[in-house]
Amino acid sequence: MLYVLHGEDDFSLHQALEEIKRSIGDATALATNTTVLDGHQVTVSELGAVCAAMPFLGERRLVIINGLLERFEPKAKPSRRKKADGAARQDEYKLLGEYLLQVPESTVLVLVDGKIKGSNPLLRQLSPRAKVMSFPLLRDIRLRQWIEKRVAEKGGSISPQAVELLARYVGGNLWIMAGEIDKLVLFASGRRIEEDDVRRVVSYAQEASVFAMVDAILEFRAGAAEQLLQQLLQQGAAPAYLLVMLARQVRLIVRLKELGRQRRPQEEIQDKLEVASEFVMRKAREQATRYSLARLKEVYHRLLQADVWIKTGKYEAELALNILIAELCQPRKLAV
Amino acid sequence: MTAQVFYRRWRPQTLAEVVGQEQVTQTLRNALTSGHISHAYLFCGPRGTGKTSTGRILAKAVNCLSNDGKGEPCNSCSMCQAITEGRALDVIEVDAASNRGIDEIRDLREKVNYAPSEARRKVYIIDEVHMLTKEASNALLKTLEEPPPHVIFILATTEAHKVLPTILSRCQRFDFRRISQADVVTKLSQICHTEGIHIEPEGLRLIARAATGSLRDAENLLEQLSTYYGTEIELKQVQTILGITGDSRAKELVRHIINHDVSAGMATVNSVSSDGLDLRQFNRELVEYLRGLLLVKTGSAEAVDLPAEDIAELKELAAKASLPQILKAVKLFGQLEIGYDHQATLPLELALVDCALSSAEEAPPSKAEKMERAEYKARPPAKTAPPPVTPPEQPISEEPEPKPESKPEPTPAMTAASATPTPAAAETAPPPGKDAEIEHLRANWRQFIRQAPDNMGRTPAAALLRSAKPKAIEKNTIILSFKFPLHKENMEKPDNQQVAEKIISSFLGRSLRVRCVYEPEDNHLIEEALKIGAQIIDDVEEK
Repeated sequence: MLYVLHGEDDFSLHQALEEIKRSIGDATALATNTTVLDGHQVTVSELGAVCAAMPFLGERRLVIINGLLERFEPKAKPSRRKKADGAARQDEYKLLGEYLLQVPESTVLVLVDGKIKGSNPLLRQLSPRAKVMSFPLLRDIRLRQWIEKRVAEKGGSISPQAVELLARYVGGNLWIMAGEIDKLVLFASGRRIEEDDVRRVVSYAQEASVFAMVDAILEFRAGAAEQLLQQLLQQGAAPAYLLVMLARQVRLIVRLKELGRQRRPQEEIQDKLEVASEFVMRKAREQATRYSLARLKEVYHRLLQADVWIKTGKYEAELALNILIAELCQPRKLAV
Repeated sequence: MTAQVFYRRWRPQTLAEVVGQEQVTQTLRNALTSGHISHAYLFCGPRGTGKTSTGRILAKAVNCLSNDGKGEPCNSCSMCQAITEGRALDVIEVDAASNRGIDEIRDLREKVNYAPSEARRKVYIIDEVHMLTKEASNALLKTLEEPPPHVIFILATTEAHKVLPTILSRCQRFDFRRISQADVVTKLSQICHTEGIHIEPEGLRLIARAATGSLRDAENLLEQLSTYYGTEIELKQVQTILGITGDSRAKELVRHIINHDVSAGMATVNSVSSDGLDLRQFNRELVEYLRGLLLVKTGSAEAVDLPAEDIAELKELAAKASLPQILKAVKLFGQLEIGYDHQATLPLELALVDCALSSAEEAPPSKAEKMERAEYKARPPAKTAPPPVTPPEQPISEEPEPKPESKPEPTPAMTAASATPTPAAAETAPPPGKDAEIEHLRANWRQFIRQAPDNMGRTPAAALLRSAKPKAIEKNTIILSFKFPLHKENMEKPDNQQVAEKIISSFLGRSLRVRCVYEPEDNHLIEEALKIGAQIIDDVEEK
């Protein structure tokens, strides 16, 4: 039996893998019969040795290979590659592919991979005979459905607004999402999960406040910004952390602006910026269209200045943040 | 046991006792009663908010012999007691700050697989988990991903953003908040009640405020007070320990600053100083009050942690002042460094004057000053005749720089300007027109020698001119100053002098005679030194 599991949604992939393990049989018997190989280095002969071995005190063997498909992922510019090299690689994947298709019945082979293109040669070769499962990152409506399903599984219920808020705060990383949902269900213990619960319990709500603060600063709303700052400090955020988050956000906006100017597709931009959270992306995109580069530059310089203040001990960290915000919110530069 | 410090004696032993973290304790209690214990927790939050304590309570709750592994620990069974006393074999506390390498984590991974020896579950409490090295974090991640069923990991950290994101995502994360003043006061009064300490509520409030949300700090302060003063503690004593002056003069001074009342402000500073108050502490309170003013002015009065009457006062003050004015005051006083010597009040006074003056005069003078500065910058670095602006007598009103330390010394430009007038120039007192001429000459000296007509720019005279500096123009004579006597002598040769005169005359458009002087160094310091009788004994040429 041959399985191919691939996709960025690591969490669902892991669950599927657990499912396969359960279907094979008792966990303790499987423990001695499981081998995990690194797909980037494995050779045909190694594979043969592992797969052809007889199961020990059990019916099946489980062989998991991580990242084998990724090794043969087509490169962006194949024409540049040397022919000989390309030929060798082709032989390699053919050999491997042929072998993979004829593993003995007693062995369950699972290939685990990250994001794989449909044009992957090994995947194409294997797909007619293997069970291929793909786990792309959940977005939008599917993410919301997943949340509802997960909450129901855990024995709770959740309001649509809370789902929306949760999806915006946490984004597509289901590991985190699962943890947050567990927490929410336990916190609510039987009653319906509401928006307010999400705000109180979800750790990433703090990040949202940081964005709101950046917004307030960029829009010269000093009062709102100072209030959010105090709130964040009260919630236990360290001043240094807040400064880093501010800087990160401004950097994000600047990069987004630049990538947007180059007319890159949205997905590529998100990949480039390495931002998983939908909320963060959306917020940054809004801010990028709203604020000028000059304003962002000015903010950036002030941030640096505040960092120097804190690190040289000129002002205490919290006071430095207060001053920073008050200054940034001044429409006109102070003559200092 | 009697010798145990407060924060250990009063460490919460049940989830209900944990102060100010309802969203955490409620979730955990529900998890315990329903039996949905996660295999990995991450507790993050500032120090003294109960992370490690909660971890220990959790360890007890899952292993307690009498609660069936559900709900709060009983704290009386042998297992609970063993954990409280820190001798349970199956509750392992690791300080990740000192065991941060990969070897320690590998060791941990090996041992994780062994079943617990007597407890139900093995609990690993890993403190300061952000201190782990990258490799160690990755090694830990593997275990966190697929932990043996009998193990619970509790990671605690003050800096969650330094923890590997993959670790973050594998744990159930709980954020501990700073404990509010009210909660701290309640807890402290409980402690006081049991320990038989009598202290005014205002005193407790001060302690809570100084602790900035950390209960441990507050408990330590209380203990310090009780060891020092016994069971009867007065407000005054709390103030002394906390270094609070308990003086309203900080507020008074803020009022004077806002009203631009320098003399009253000076009087306040002096009275504070002569009363022997700690000026640093005074300044700290002053800045704290100004910060409150800043917050009120920006419209976030709710964020200010002060009694209502103070806030009302701040609001009244804020209405009078402009934001730039307040901001300036905060910045000026916030960066003061006050020494312990007899002039300790000076920084305060300077900051006060600076604040009051600059905000009294507002924008127009500062603009003028800026232009003035720009003028200084625009000029070539060569020494200049005194500029036709006000002489630098009053450094305070002249200097817009807010830093008090730079205040008393005049800027370099001023020094150069005041030292420049040479005897020759001073005697003749040239009219401004000539002044401009020499300025012009100086600024374009090299250029015009190069552009001298009839190829005169290539003559030896031109080369000599280059090494000279135009010093002054007196009627029809230009005085050139030379650094080396040899150059001067060469220039004084008739042919050279003639050519030089031609060059200069062509440039200025009128005929001039050349007179040469020898000035060993154009450094104004040396000039001054020469004036008061110094002699040059050796001249080392610079490369």
